[in-house]
Amino acid sequence: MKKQVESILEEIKDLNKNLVFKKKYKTLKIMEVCGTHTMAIAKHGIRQLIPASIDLISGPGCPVCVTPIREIDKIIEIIKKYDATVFTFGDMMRVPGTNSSLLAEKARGKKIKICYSPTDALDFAESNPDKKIIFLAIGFETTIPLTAVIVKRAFEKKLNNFFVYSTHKTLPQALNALLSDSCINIGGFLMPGHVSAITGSSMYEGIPQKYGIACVISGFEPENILLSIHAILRQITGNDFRVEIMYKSVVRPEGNPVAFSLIFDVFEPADSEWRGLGLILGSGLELKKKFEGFDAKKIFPVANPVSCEPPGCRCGDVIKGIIKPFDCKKFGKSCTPENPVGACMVSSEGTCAAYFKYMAGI
Amino acid sequence: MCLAIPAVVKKINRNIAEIESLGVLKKIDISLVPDVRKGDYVIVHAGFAIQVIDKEEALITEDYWKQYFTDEAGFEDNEEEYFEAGDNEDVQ
Amino acid sequence: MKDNKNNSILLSHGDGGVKTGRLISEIIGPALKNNILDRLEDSAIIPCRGAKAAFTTDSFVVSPLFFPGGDIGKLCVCGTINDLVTSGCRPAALSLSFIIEEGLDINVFKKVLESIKNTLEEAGEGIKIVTGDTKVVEKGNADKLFINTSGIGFIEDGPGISPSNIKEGDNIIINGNIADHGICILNCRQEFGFKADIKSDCAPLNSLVKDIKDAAGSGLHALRDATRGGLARVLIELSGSSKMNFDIYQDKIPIQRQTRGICEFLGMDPLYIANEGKMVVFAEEKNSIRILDAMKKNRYGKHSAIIGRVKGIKDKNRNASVTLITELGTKRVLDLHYSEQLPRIC
Ligand code: SF4
Repeated sequence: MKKQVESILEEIKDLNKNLVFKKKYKTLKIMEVCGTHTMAIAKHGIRQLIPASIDLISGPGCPVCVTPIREIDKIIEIIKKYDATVFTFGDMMRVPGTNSSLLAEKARGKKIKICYSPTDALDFAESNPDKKIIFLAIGFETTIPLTAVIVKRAFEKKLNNFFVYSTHKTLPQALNALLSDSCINIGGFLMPGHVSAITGSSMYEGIPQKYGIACVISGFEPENILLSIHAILRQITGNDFRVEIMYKSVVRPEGNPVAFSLIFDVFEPADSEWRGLGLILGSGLELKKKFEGFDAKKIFPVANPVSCEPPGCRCGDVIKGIIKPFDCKKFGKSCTPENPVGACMVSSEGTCAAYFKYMAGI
Repeated sequence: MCLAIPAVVKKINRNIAEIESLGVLKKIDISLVPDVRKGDYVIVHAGFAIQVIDKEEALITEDYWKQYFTDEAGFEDNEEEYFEAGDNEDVQ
Repeated sequence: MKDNKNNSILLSHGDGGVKTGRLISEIIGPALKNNILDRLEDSAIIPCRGAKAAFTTDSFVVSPLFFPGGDIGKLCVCGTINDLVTSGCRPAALSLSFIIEEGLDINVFKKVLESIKNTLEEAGEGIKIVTGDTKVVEKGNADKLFINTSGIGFIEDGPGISPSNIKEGDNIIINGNIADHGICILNCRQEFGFKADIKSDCAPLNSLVKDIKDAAGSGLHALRDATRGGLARVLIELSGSSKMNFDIYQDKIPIQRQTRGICEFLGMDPLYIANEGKMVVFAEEKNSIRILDAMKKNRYGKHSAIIGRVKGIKDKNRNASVTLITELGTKRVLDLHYSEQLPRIC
């Protein structure tokens, strides 16, 4: 093991022992808000390294997992009803809708393409003026400015065959919703590094004082995650709760103002449904009136599909950190990454998938 | 929630930059980081640079490290290995 | 309702993951059951008037037809030879069967044939194409060119090489960098616009296997080529069929920097990405340094490395598993969970 990791683990153990001894907590729940942290923690086996009294739980930060089944059903309706090509990220392909998924529709010959960047969709639209292209946009603040850039570009170029279906969501509202849920008992937050790179640290400012929760913005290397856990323990030790950036090479207090302001040039807040968390006011983003000509929801109307969330799936409680995936009866039995029941099993960074993949048998 | 990797900027042409990470070259969009210069390190997400990596700030984390830990050998920045060939100018 | 989404064959049924396994064990196996097929080995061993013959078949579809490090012609010869040598036999003869899409440029076809000839020369040992067939289908009914190859070889006397011979304490060795083939093909399709110099590892491994056998004596226990589904799939399958646990050391697995680079860009796991010239070797610990040296001297084994160890199973009730020991010394169990690897942003 790397020396640095060893020494930081020693520090974590000491701090933790002290805190338990002083009865600050019996077990400390630290929620990693971001799905990429969930992945990194599972992939590197970080739970095996830290003391058992520190419990890492996964939050709502996987955009695929919180996308309600209705959005998938709707986009499938659109491709069935209209002759359009859908571009999206690979993450969305396997998410089960009520009866089908994009991957299954692709196998049936529907025009669905996986892209690496939103610009791939725009470029395709430009070079195929006779085809209608829909970019199925997903993601939080990290990804939203990218969509904003291409919408603006499509506007400037006056493209009339390029559209965006926004399932974008913003994080602060979800965190507040989560914190106001009384079931949740969190001692520290690992805040998402790449979202914060755009938003800056100010959007978390109220949380530490109001709730007495340590908030540490973390990077994704194992050392960085451990360092951030260490910072949380130090805040608890000193009773000094604040927003601390432990990913300073990338996250500035002010974020990336260019990217952040672009979001609100193009989008306006709207109420949005989160799988597991329900409807959260002002947590979604829809295209502004100026850009409504690019809004796939307006251009390709479909009836509201009869969507039903899979019975028995406890994604909601998993996302809130109330239960662990193995507390769900379907986990690893009728629900596996090959045949996911809920969205938490679909996305590779979904909590259930991360648990299944990296923890089976240990 | 967002897969992003560090890379070094090799060439800039308006809003497009050629970047390199682990020896792989790729053209990306730099509209979100208008101040970026050739030779800077950036964080790349879905074909866009979303932030310029601040090397000096990275050193502050290193200080944090030194302050709390015994290992004098120093902070091994894991990102280094992404960059090493980036520093090597004969990779066209 | 639920089955609604499951009743067509998906691309993931052919990617070497769980769905491929189910297609074989639930659909094909039961339909065609017999005592040889049931073993589900890469090549079947059939008794043949006193001698023992190994017989295998494989179909090749690849787009583009030509890629750095190989082409469909080289691929079909290597794939079949490699399947044969894993059962410890000496390949003797191959068949070739072409399905050609109407409109294929004849020069392209000639180039493929030329490559087949060159690959046979590269493999040596007098391996010949002895029979073949050609079908042309209407435009749109095939993608340019598909090739099916069958191969036959003879088992030489000597210690048996089979997953059932894997023993506790064996070392696990691989002959070089993983994931190059899959990533090379992805890179060639240019959908994502990377510039990287990644060559497919496509190679006939008969000479390598010969060198391994010569160096190993009786210490060689099993061989398997790691193709679709990558190194992870082979390890998981062999762990299952040998009923042994394997420990694999993540930092020992050889991988080229650029290949890793593309994997990181797209969020893919190189352990699950296809190879076309990688042999996984199980050998007694005391012979393994000798084997490793011999492999490193072979042109297809320069980057050979010992990547893991066979552990026994203490609790007989638990399924055998493959554990990856990470760089931090933590453990995670490898799982055959993957459908097609899709690029992701999360
Ligand atoms: S294991 Fe499956 S069914 Fe259970 S909560 Fe997770 S995704 Fe839902």
